[in-house]
Amino acid sequence: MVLDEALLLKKLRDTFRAEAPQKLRLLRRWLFEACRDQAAADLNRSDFLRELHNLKGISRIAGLPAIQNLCAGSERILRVGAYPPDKKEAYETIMEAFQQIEDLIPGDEAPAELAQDLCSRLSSFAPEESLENV
Amino acid sequence: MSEKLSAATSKLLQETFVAEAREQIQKIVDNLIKLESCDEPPKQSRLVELTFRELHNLKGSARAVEYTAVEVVCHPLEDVMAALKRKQIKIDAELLDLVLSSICLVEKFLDVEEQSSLEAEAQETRDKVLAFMKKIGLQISASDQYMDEVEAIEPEDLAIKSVQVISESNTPQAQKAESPKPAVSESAATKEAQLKSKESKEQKAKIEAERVETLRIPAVKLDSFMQKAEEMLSVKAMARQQRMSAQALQSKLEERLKAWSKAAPDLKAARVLMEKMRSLNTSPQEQVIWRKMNDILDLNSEFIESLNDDVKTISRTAFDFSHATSTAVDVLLDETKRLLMMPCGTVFEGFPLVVRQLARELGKEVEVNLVGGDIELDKRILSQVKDPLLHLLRNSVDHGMETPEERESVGKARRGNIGIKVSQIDGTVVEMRVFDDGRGINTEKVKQSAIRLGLISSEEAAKMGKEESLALIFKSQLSTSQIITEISGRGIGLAVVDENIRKLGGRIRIETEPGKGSSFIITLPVTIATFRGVLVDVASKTFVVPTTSIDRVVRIKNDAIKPVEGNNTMLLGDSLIPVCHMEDVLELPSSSKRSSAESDKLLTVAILGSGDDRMGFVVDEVLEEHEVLVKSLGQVFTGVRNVSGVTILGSGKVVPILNSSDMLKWSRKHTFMRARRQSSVAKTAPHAKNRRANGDKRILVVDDTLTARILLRNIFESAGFSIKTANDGAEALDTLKSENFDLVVTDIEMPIMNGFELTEQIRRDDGLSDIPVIMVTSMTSREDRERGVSVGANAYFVKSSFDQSNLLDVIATLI
Repeated sequence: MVLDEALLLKKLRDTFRAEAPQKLRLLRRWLFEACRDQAAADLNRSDFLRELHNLKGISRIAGLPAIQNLCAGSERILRVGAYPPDKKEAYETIMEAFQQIEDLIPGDEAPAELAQDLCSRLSSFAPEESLENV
Repeated sequence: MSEKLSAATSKLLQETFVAEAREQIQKIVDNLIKLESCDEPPKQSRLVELTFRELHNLKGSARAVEYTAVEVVCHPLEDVMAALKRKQIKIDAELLDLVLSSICLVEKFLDVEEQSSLEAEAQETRDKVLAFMKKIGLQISASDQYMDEVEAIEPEDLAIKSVQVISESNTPQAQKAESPKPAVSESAATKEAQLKSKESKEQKAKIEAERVETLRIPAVKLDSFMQKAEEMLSVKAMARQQRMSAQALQSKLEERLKAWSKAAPDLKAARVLMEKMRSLNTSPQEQVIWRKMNDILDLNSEFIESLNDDVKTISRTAFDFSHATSTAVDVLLDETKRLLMMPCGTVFEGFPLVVRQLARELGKEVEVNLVGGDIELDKRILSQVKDPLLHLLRNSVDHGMETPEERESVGKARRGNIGIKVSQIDGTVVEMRVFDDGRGINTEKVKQSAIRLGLISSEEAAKMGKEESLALIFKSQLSTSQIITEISGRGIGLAVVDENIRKLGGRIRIETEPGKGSSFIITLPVTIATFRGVLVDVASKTFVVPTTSIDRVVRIKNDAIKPVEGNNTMLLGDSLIPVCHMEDVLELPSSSKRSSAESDKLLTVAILGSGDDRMGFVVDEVLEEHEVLVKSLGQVFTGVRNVSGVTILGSGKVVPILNSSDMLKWSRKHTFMRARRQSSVAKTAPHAKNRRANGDKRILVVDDTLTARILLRNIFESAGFSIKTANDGAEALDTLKSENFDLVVTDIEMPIMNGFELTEQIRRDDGLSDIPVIMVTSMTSREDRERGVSVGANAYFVKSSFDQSNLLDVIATLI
């Protein structure tokens, strides 16, 4: 069997569109709960980070760099910095990123430029420390 | 650039700039790497000074030829080096990373003539440098800020050792550097300055006297010249053929003369008889006949003697011509080869940077030592040996070198030593020693890996000495690495290194001491020897076998060939080696000579290969050895099995040159080796008996995202594997206990049970512990890789960098 790359990419994007909204819903809920209740934050931190990391990974597989960069920016704030974020502006910017991801999911293309502005804002909240795993 | 310059001049200037810029960048990279491991302040200052100067010159030249992207990046880098020079900032790894990565990018810019297309990339890099400068409190300078500082550096400080005909004295900078300095007012100082100036002039005069004019000649022109010089081998062969033909004619004639001489007494008797008969009552008519016969005999005798003299002269001339041609062609070839000699150091460029980057990636501290870079070798050998050397260096960093913590724990310095030392063994051979002071090679591990792969049996392993065990490392697929990564561990590299070195007429061996380090010692000829081949007859056709690939030629009785495990073998000394008929390998019709099945019939067997990799090839006849000119088969016939080229003999006959490496591989596949491997595998790895074709091989893909599972499923199914998927480690473990799989490919970060835990469970379970596990993950850190090793994964791929063919290759080596 020969790998038809165009067909595979279409299949991967369809799968992504089916899979990503559920992950995004979970991420929003967990972050919201974490901000309200420290116990919830302790409980869902690892799940949250895993799902966010996964969302970043599958957007890369589906060839959607804008979504990948938004996930990476959010992950950078939360993995090395505090979870939930210790600044209200950081929380709001992450939620804004999730909203933009939701808007981008149905589209066929998501070039990096689409999310450039938001990514810059996310990076302003990121800690200086480098991240090998992000 | 000035509009007055013609397009051709501009082009020439740009070409010159690019060639010089590459040299400057290489010097910058070398200096920066030396700087990282240099602890002596004076040396540090000198390296900073030199780097600063190179950067400044590079920027200036780039501006002159309108390589704007290069200039844009070099400008802030120059500021960083200036700050280092003034000791405003300190050297650290982050700074070096930034300057090195930026300068490597600049090197890529040199490939692009249309610099405006690089604007965005150059600006991005410049911004990165500027951000770094801002962070450490530096500001960008005006572009000509350092003109005075650079010009103040004495020319002798620059350590320029080679002089080029593209005279430096013609450049404005050089003119400024050579112009006398203004005198100072104090008389003592003036005297001192005059003294220095005198010394400086003497120094310059000395340099001038030693100056040897050199020319830049494109390598392609030299290669073409070498080819033309090699064509002269045909002339040499033709002269040799003529000499042999003349000698053969002379021999034939001498035989005739001998026969004539033998007949001389009879001839004399006949003449006496004729005289007697003439005096008898013979008629005048008969007397005329007798006289004519006598004349003919005299004439014939004189003619043969005169012909013999002429043939002797021709033979002597042919001999002289052949001798003179042979000498002239040999001298021409030797001199041409000398033109192609280059210092080894030219291939070492870039090695320190690669080693540094790899070491940093792996969290190791390494110092690179390159010794003997001025020893010269044929550039064709150098270009071929570059990749093997780089491979060995990468292996040393990845496998040989310990982490700084490991080194400290055994009392070694945190920073390890890796390097290459070149030394001249004699006029024809050099030795390249790739060394490290790391952990050394564990020969027991090597043997265990070889047993596991079925390359040797346990009994054979037990009998093996250290050298023999180490030689196993060069077997394809053998690796002692605990895990396969993108860098190494698949056991393919060293086999290729060995093959490439052999192709160059060299050899490689290993010296190692546990805990103290290893050396891979390569011996290479200084130049590529003129190709010599042995002419053999097979099925009434003539072929050339490369002399270097013939171990020996033996004559054995037909019944000395015995079948072992269904394949023909013969005893050579104490070794049993496989034998086949060359005509079978070359797929030629069976010759009439072969049809005779007499048991005591003598067969001629050419033994090809070396060491354990020898094989006998039965040929009809071995004719003679020749110096031959190898002609390529051209594009149409590229890849013809078992044939590497053709040659034209002195007689004009076109003869194929056999590719002995191909022949050995092909024959091994089809005869003895396959049987041997099967037998060994059967003895050592019973579970491997049931290995099946890809279609029957089952892979379990474990990932908690559907998108990733679909990607992997498609890749594996396209390669013909059967796939089953699981959402997490726990589900995978249940599936593995209920169904058979040949391999597990798993993500790491998963809910319920992650990839590390899954692998640990697999290794603990007696029924599953043999199944290879590959981790495909986005976790890139050294700690994660090490954890992968410790839990027992066979390979570790980072999702962001893996390519599917690489992954499939690794799977092929594991199942």
